[in-house]
Amino acid sequence: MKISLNWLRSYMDFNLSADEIARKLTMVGLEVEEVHSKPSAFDQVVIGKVLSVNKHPNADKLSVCDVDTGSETLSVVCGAPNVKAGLFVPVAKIGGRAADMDIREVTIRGVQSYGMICSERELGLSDNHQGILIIDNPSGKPGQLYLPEFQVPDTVLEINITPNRPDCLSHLGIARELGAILKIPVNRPDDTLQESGGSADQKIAIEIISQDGCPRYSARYIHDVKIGPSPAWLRSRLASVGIRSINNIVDVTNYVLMETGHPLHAFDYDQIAGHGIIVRKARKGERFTTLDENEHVLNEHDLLICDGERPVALAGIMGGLNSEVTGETHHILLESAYFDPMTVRRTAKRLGLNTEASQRFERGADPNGTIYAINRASKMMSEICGGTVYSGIADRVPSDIKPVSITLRSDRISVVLGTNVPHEEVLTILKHLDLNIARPDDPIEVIVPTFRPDLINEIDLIEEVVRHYGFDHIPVNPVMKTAYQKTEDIGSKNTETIRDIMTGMGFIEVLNNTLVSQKHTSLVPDVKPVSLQNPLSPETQFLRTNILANLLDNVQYNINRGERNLMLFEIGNVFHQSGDRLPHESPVLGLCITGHTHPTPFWQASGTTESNLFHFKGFLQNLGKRLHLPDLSFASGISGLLGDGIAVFSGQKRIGLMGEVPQSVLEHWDIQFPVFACEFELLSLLDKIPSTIRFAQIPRFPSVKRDLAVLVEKGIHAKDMIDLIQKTGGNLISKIDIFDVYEGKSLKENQKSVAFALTFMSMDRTLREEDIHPVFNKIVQALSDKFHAALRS
Amino acid sequence: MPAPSMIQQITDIRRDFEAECAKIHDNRSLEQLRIRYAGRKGKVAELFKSLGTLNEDDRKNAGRLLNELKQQITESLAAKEKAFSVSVESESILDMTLPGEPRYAGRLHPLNRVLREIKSCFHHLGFSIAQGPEVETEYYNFEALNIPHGHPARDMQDTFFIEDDIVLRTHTSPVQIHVMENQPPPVQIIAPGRTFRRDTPDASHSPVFHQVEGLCVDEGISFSDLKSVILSFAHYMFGSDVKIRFRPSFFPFTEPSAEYDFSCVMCKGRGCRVCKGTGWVEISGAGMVNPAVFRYVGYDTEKYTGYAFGMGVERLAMLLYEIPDIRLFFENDVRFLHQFG
Ligand SMILES: [Zn+2]
Repeated sequence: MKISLNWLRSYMDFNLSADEIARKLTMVGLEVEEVHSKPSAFDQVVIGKVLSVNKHPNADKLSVCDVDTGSETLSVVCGAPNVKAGLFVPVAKIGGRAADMDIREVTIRGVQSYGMICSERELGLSDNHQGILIIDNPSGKPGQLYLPEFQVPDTVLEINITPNRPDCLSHLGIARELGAILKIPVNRPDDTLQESGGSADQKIAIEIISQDGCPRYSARYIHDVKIGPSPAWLRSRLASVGIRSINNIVDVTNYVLMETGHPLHAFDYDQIAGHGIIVRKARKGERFTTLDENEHVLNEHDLLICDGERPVALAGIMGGLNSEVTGETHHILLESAYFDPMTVRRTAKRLGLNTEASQRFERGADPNGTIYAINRASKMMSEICGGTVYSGIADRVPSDIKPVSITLRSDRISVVLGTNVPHEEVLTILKHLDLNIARPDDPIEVIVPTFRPDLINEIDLIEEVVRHYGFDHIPVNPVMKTAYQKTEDIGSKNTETIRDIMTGMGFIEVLNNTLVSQKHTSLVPDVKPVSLQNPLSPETQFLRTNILANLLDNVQYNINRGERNLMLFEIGNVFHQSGDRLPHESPVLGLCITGHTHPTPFWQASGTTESNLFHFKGFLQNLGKRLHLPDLSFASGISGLLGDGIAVFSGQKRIGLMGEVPQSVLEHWDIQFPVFACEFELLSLLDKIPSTIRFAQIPRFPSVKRDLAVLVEKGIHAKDMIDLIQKTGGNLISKIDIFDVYEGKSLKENQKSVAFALTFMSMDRTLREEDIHPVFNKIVQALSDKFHAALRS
Repeated sequence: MPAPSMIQQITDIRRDFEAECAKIHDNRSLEQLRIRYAGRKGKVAELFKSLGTLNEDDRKNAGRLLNELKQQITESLAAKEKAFSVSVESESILDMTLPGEPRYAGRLHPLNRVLREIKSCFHHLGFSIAQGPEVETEYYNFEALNIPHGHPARDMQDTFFIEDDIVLRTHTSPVQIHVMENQPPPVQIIAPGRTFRRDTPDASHSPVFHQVEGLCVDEGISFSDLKSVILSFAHYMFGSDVKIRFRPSFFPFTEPSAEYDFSCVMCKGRGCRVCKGTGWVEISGAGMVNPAVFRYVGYDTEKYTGYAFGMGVERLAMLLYEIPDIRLFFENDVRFLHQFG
């Protein structure tokens, strides 16, 4: 909302700088976002003197003018018929703004143009676009900033009004707040007017069929107005708050809107068939053209203002093209109504119409403000447009609109704020806000006028008190109330441990968008992704079903920027349709690596190793060890996220899937290098982390190492052999490592050699050869029996 | 008796050698040391020569000790030489400006780094962590927070819809409702998490971002307590000279509502580009829980009061690290991520 300080000064006396006013308004919740010391539409618009006008070589209707702008003479292409040498004109220079455009150097039909000679419309002063604006009495020399004759220096505040304060969408509303801040009175302009001629009730018949949608409809009849341009002061006021002048009647309704916050609409009385107003809901499929010349298809929820035959306005949003005030208009039917917020909001939203009127009705106009607003506007119309205001107001109020009464207890103020606000202070604040005090003693009884629809409960009044009392006056409680029983969230604690382990192993944490494209979701073939109704783009249409696709984005992005060794992880939620109302949502830990296993030190000329599946598996096992996961195991041949992937188990529970990302997937990301990736279901992983750790006896006796190399068929799994060795060796085997696997020329085609390093140990004695030998032999025998393993010499 | 003096000499030589050897840092002095002790005319050779003067028993004993000494000296010299040859080829100067073995260094994402700070602060202040789903019903995201259907306040947050009544949560405030539905007061929680708004991405907007919402409800909780918790937080994150300011504002689920600001850390409140010359930077919203919200969860509105506050993790990270563009957090350029964590 734009608020002109000149305008405010017409209601009250204050002598503060604009910045000071801005700060004070901000500190009562009226956040001033910008302070303009002059209307921004006139940036870089200077007075120019046309020196010469020549025909454009390539266009009949254009001319090329030399314009003196003080420091320089500009060559400007102009299309206006009324441009002549010797005239003073407003020139928007390069870098300035006019006609809602940034002015740049342009070529028009082959001729360079270095600025723009402006019409009134291009400067936002009026709708006049008959030709360029001619400055009759220039206020300065060429080159000086152009100020229209009616413009006086002003400061305009851009205020962000929160949706609960419709009353502040007006100059009088802001004046009321400022009055309460400065504790000074506000002089509301007089609305008493001269009535003559006939009576409004004879000229206007009102019937409200939809009483829910329209709790009040007030109208006046103004006879024989002279339509024309508005006087300079009125155009100036409107221009200062960004409203362009249309004609004197429309300008008056806009002026009163900006003054009181109450939207008005002026109809051409002669276009109102039967001189009657009917307020009703639209019929489904009914069509109506608003005065912006757009046709709308309506439904039974939309509220219409109709005459005897047809709709003439979309209630509370915009008038119709068929009944707007034109140069031919003689008599005015002036509407000042109160429409139901929900009704206006629903229609405005559906039709995408956001007007000054709809904004106010949606938030809640003042049902009892119709009278002051219509009187103000009628008075101005008689003064400015020469009309005769017929006596009385045609006013229909189907249901009584009563002010709310609220009880305010002073001890409740203390409970909520933690401090006592002096009783007198409370009363002063409430009075300055124009709230009526029915009982000044505690508990205070407040009658809330209807212009404050946001004040309903006691807490609303407490907020009013503290807004003006100031949060600064509430002390910081030195004894912080705390030390409630804290519930320890083991899950999030362990999640942080996982982050530490991952970064400790050299992984970089990434965070990716939850909203992804179909390319991402299709990586998980068996689930239905969750789709948005209103995505920003097709690239962000779905909720991610996996994190791997995001990680591949990151790999691609970083490889393209020259970093090809990457170890990345992310913890975040993935989603898919569940069949229930809410989708399935669960956190996963995704990780991937690509590139070299280690960076190369300077003393190694070459010989860095590319990552492989077992290098990657090492990280997963390491993570498992650090988390004390029991029994991490891996089983290949599981189809899913990674083609033929590898399932990761902890005990019997599948907790994740890992593998090398298939070539067919990498192609979609244009990645030329192998990528190894894994996704853990975070909750399954967390579930497997033991809640306690217990000490285990450290062996006191030395261990003995024995190597064992066997030849087996290629299909035999190392894990099965290890399990058998452990089972056969029992307690005496404390550790089994594999230190070599060999397949090659010296062996038969279907054979491989696997070499184990066995560690023998006892908790109660030093092992001797006699203890180890028989066990070793038993192991060899068992391997031979079960896997046809032959000892390799 | 010459033998004890022989053993004494051996002991002395060993002690001297060890002391001198420890001070050697280049090959040149190492060579000199070798000549003095292990050379043909060195101290050890001299002692070997004098063995002949001893009787058989003493000679045998001293000879053994002398051989041990010789071996020890040889080994020490060899070890020292090897140590030098690793780093230096021809020059006998150790260049410690050469890099150590490079390693991949892991990093925490800056947002999680900041989030940890936030959690740690509120943990110390007695808050527990609560979580809730990112996909919410309209009831939890809006209605139970006193933002009824058709209320203009819904326009304050552009919302992504999945169904007509299922949304991506626009704030972590719904977690408040879940928690209060499931436990009676006292309640003291923070709810960190991911949130969504249908904002076109630019330097200060991201459709995906992270929030932490705080809630404290009990008998006798007042705005004064809210001020003290926000002040503690300001000091924890930005240092103890930071000041706080509350400005009235509007949120349907709190009343009185406020925006809270911190004094600008960059300029110490004098005014700069970061604070647009005001000396204050806007952090987020806060206020006393609206009794209407208590009515939704069945809390006694006369008996209990509470405060709630929010904060944007991205916003705080941008202030802490002077990051100019919110989109950097989700681009995951490792050159960016390497700067933090
Ligand atoms: Zn600053």
